[in-house]
Amino acid sequence: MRISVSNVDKRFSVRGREVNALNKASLEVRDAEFLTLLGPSGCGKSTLLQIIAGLEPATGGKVSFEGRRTASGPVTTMVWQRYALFPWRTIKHNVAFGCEMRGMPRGERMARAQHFIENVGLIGFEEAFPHELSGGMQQRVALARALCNDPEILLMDEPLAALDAQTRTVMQVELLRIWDQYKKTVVYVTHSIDEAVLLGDRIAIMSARPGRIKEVIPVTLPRPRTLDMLTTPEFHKLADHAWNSIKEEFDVAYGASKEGQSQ
Amino acid sequence: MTISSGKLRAFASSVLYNVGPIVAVLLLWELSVRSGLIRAFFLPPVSDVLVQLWESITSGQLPAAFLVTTKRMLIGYIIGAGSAIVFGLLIGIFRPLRNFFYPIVAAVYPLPKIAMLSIFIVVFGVGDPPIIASVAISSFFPVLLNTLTGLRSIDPILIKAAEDLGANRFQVTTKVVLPGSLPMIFTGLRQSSAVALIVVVAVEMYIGQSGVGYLLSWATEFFKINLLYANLFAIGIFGILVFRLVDFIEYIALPWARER
Ligand SMILES: Nc1ncnc2c1ncn2[C@@H]1O[C@H](COP(=O)(O)OP(=O)(O)OP(=O)(O)O)[C@@H](O)[C@H]1O
Ligand SMILES: [Mg+2]
Repeated sequence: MRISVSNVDKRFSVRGREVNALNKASLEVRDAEFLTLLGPSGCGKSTLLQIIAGLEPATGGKVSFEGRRTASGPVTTMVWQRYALFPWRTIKHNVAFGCEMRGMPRGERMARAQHFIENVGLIGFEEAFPHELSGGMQQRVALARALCNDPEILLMDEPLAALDAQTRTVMQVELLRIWDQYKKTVVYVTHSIDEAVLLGDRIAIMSARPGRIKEVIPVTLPRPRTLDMLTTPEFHKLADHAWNSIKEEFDVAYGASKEGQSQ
Repeated sequence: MTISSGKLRAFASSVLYNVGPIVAVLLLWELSVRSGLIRAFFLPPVSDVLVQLWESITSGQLPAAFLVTTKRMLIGYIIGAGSAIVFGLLIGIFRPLRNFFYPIVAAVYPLPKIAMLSIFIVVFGVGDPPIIASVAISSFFPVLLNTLTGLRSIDPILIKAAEDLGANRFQVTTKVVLPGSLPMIFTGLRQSSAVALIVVVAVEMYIGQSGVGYLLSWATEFFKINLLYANLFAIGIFGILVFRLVDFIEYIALPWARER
């Protein structure tokens, strides 16, 4: 499915003060595309994702989904930075949560959950509780839980940000493998430029707050992507491009915060 | 060294660490009384107390008293803690109820509940009801406040995640809010069990015609010093059993919240 975000505004009022999080953000996400979203901290990436997910209302503008539905689940499902697993549920019951809420019969949903637990490499941990798993394993559970829900679109908010560098690399490869398998539309927020280039079909760059989409960079690397590509000149060219674009926004954000301090 | 002998050793050393200090204090007690350092008039030798304890148990006096006390405590506790959980969940989940009841709870909470005893005596007269009512009202507040805290302590991200995965409002309540607040509810249950024990013994001492508290005040009145200490020992052991039971129920009920 395609996502069309047009002129989305979002204002929060924090203790009487208005905060402009998004200002006329517009973005088209293509069908079965892996779109990565880069932007300075606080520019409204998470807010935009939650508006797309329908978890936050937009103050203005519109989000619509177009195209034929092919999946059995909801239109969107989120994968969160802090995993957001239910501590009181075992891994298999975490993974089956979405299906359970939709009333899928027990046998069917447990079989489904088992399939995705196997797919993310967690065989043997079905009966474990989240706190018994490492951060990387917990994020695999979160991924399996989202996939098991079978959404048209996966919305991922810095899913690997809490992991150490090595685990993150392993998970990037895993994500590439799994995405190749399901070819879902993905909007993927990250702070890592390398990750944005390695995973994305296109990179959307957001401006400093109030956020809008400033530039979309097509990633011309072929698929399937491999870690070897990280050292190619093509990769460097794309990463430089993204870096220069985002650097201007860092400067804006930094300048703005200095201004804020002097007031 | 095999694993099982290692485990045995670990067990033996844990027993040593837990029981050792208690045995040491008891020995010190025995020695200081026997040597005349402390007058046996106030503090009988431990050995005499243990003999008395044994006699009280075998004569059936102590078991009968504990049966009566346990019954009062349990009924009061179940009424108080049970209604606190239900009430806490209701006012925690429904905003209007909360807005109405919260100021009332905040106003009543600091009152020493034991002062209500006089009202219970006026209302219920003598016998079990005022004792049970005292236990119930003192068990009520710790559970209520912890339930409310538990409801507030749930990570909002978990609620958003559940909604995102398709849970409706009812499901969010039963599948996220409720299980998420169970650890705090158990904290309240543990606090209340301690309070319930204190209150049942205290009220029995004051108005009881039977039960452990009554036995205690009777021993005091007639200066049966061995019996007094034997009863205190028994209450101490009973208290430990009560806490262990609550811990055990929590251990079974919340496998995911076990000590890490
Ligand atoms: N619930 C909220 N109430 C008030 N203000 C909010 C709320 N959520 C976000 N904001 C504000 O909106 C702005 C954008 O926040 P958002 O979390 O979307 O940024 P982000 O781009 O995801 O940042 P980061 O990269 O640090 O995760 C911030 O200034 C933040 O303070
Ligand atoms: Mg964010």
